[in-house]
Amino acid sequence: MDEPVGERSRVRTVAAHVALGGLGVLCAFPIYWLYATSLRAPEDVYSPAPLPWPLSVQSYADAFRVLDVGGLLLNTTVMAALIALGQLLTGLLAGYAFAAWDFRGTGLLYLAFVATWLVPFQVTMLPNYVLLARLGVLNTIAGVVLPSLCTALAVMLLRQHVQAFPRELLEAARLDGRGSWSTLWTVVVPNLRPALAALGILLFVNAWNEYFWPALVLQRSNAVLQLGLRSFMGTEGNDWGPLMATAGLACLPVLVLYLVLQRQIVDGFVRSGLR
Amino acid sequence: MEPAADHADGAGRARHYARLFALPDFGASVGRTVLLVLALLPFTVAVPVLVGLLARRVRGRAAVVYQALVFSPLLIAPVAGAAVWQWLLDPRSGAVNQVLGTTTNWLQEPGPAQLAIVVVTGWHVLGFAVLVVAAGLAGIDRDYAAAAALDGASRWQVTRWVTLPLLSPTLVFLALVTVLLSAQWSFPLVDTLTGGGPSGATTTVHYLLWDYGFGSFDAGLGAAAGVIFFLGFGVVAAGLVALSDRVSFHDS
Repeated sequence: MDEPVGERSRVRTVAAHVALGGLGVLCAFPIYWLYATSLRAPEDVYSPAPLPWPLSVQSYADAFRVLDVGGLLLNTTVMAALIALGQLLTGLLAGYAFAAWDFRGTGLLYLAFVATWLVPFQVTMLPNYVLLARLGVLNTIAGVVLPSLCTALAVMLLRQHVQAFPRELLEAARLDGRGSWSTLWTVVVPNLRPALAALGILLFVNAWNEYFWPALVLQRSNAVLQLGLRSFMGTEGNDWGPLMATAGLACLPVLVLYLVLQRQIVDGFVRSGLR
Repeated sequence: MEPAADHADGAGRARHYARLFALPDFGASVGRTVLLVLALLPFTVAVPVLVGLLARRVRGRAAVVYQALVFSPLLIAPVAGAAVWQWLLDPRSGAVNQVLGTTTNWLQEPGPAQLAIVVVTGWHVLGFAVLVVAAGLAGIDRDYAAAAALDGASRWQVTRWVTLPLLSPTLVFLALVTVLLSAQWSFPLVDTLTGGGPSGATTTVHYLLWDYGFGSFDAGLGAAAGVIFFLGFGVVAAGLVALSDRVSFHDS
């Protein structure tokens, strides 16, 4: 849309900058404070100074002394990657089937997928736990991954994306003599790559940040980073320095991943908008 | 687990429901869960739409930076987020009280504790909703707005009568997600920050179940709760899906 060039328009643009900038700072402040606290010297932890000075890595040293941070990082990464890939694959297949085909019972089946959202984790975890115990995969990463291989979120979002996909292209692929399987991988997936990347990152982050299910399955405690945090929380009060350091470490890989891939995600949204 | 209840007849099964409804605080926790959902809707629908519309006026590097900042809390693990908020809300040396000039004991008083849970949960999920709205807006063909503008529609009219209706499937999706997941989003925060307290003020149904049912690995109670959840949320979700089919415009 062409912007009318004028005083009013400029004022509104400035207002938009102020509103979005203010909201952004508000959202990011707790994260800044997390790292600021983790970098203060132990005697300065309670300091209200906005800048942590002098810098100190003592909190990180304490965290590394108590926890096997490297091992936890590896475990958490493997777990989150497997879950995200599984959810992306099942979501793609189901979303494509729902959007591209009309078959008897589509609505009912789709409702069944959505319905998996109706039953919260607090209800399904016990049956899942018993099942995993029978399968003998408790206390393994596989035990954490298995019940998480399909999510309604991925199915719903990918169904929407395939639905918005031009039908003529699917028709053209069919007239070219492509089967559904090859249409999916050679026509739909390449065109959905931005959406798939964005969703994949979202799913990875969700899996990375999962806390209660790993806590239940991996009872030989502290096998993933999120569980390590509890080491520094106490009823008498928290050990803020190492707690913030471990929290910072638990969040760092995801933040870095986002910083590296953000351009691609944003480009993806822009490109799909200009389609 | 209860071996006796496993071969229960109808009356035995009904007993699980009776025990569920008889849980202390059951009705109040349902009410609090509904309130939580309503209080979170501004964070998951209203503010993201506002951000999405405002973001169209901002171009280039600045837009990327703002988006990154608003999105960043989503990347923080709930437990890590809970830890830093516990620190920010600390009554004596927490940053929130120092900035506001108050001495509120945020997590130990019922009202402030409820507000804290809503705000921290909202802080966490805002980025997700903003991203979904951005994707929805990006998927809207700009030709419609351009055509309306050519016909003499003002910016506000274009937004109200062209953009928002085309965005409605996204909005219904966000409302659905909020209804179904609010209590789960806030669950790790409730567990870490307030433990359901003070005096039950932040105990949602989910937390109640966790506290009573699964603390004791009580399968019967959990199954009864599962059915109730399924029916209750099912009605709401079916309503929203029906609504979305009625208001949706697909421009393909």
